[in-house]
Amino acid sequence: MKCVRCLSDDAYKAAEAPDKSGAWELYCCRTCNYGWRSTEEEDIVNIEKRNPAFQLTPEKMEQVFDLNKIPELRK
Amino acid sequence: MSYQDLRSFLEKLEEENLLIRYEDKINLEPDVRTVLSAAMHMEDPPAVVMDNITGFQKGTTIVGNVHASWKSNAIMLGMDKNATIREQFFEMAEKWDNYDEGSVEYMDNPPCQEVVIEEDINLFEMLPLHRINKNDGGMYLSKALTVTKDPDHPDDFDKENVGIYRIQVQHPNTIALHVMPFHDGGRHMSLAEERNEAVPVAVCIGVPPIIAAMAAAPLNYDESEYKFASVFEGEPFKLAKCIGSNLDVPAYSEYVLEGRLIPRKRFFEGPFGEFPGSYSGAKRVYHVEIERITHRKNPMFETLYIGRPWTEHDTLIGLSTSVPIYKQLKETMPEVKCVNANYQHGLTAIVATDLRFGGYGKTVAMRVATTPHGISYCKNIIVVDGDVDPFDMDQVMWALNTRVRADKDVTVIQNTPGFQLDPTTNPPGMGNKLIIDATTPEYPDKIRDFQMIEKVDGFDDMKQKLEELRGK
Repeated sequence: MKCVRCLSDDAYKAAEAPDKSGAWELYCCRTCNYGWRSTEEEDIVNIEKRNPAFQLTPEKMEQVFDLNKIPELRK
Repeated sequence: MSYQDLRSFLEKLEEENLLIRYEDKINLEPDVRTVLSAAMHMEDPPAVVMDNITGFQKGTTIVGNVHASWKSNAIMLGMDKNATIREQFFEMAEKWDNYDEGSVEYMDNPPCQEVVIEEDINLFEMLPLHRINKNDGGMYLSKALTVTKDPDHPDDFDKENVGIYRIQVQHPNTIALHVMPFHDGGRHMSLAEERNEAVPVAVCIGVPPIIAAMAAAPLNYDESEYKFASVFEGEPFKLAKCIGSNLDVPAYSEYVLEGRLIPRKRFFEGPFGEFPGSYSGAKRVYHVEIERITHRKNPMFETLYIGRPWTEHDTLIGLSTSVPIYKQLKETMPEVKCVNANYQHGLTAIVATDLRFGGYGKTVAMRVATTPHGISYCKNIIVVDGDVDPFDMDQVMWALNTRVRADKDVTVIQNTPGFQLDPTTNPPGMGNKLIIDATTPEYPDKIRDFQMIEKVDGFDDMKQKLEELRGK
């Protein structure tokens, strides 16, 4: 399944409405860790209508930094 | 009055007309953010309880804006709800000195473990998670406590840390933890990674209001948030031991997520709408895998709307930021009278002080810029005379308008540490300090001769009398 943000094919259905009403499904992406609900606004769930400023490309993802550096292992 | 659980505090807020029950059907997006941000712009912003949520069983409950108003804050501090912000500041400042009196007590069969879930954990189906701002990178926990131990001192209670950090629920049993390296929780994670150890992490949702305020305060590394909370409550703070670790959590937490750090790996997270009113960029942060959820019966899910100010975040964190700066200044500068660092986590700080000698106002400002919090956060530092109330903007503007000589009293120190979420820092984390000395010059500095208008005789007594007449 395609992620609406990074467009990888790494998204999956992670949850559905717990009252079994089928009111919504929730999807997650294993590549960019985005999450979205099927009932959100069009400019969130529809790739064509999303704000380009928040879309991701592999290049953009590469530029992201580690908030906490990985320390040296103790000897 | 002690509020050892969220529920008793909400009852009090309802009694004081500081809580609204919103019973219309809501969708998690966008309604939760709409309701909570709109409520913040009411007079005396109320807490809001929502229990009719699309897709969740009736009875699933979200509560937000618990710390929204200064009246709620006063009640939390055990004060009259009409206590001024200044009075609340001094109440907090006084209690701050009583840390040694703080104590804790462990409960058997604690309420937070009435229900235990260890299989098929799916946070998206167990919690009414929602996207807080429209372009957040996912569903966030915005007001959860993160509890960790110092891995080198696991039995040192005072070094256990309780902090509020942003947490993105990224997969059914996986959360991303965004904790700054300089925060105590970040230090614990780093120590764990030096040892390559999957240390336990507990995340608590729906907690007594005072522990949320203490978790938001920049305490010293070896000061316990729980003990501080106890000082404010006037009785031992009630704790529970996690089932799967030696972590201590508030016994009356509505939910506790027990998990473990995945050491030495980083995962894509964000962006997230932050307190400056703008989105932070994305980062790579820690992952914690959740192994167990415990909760009270009929648990309440507490959330916090954060975004364009004023939001609950600003009230929650305001005095918890102002008081520690005040205490640190007072250690060497007894002339300091009061500190208001309530705006956007202290990006602007207003300090009232008497002057020891000429130029002292600027000296106080430079001390603000070297306090642990001020180093990166306090970028606009305004110093006013000791008899000016820094919480009263009418008085602060008067001081700015009638004391500031732009050629002498305004200073910019370039290329200093800044707070990376502040969009003016460039590169993120590098900024400037603006100092405005709005104090009346003291010898040997001088200003041209003028005479102040005297304070009106009998003012205080007359004000009180008039207040009483109005109250009749």
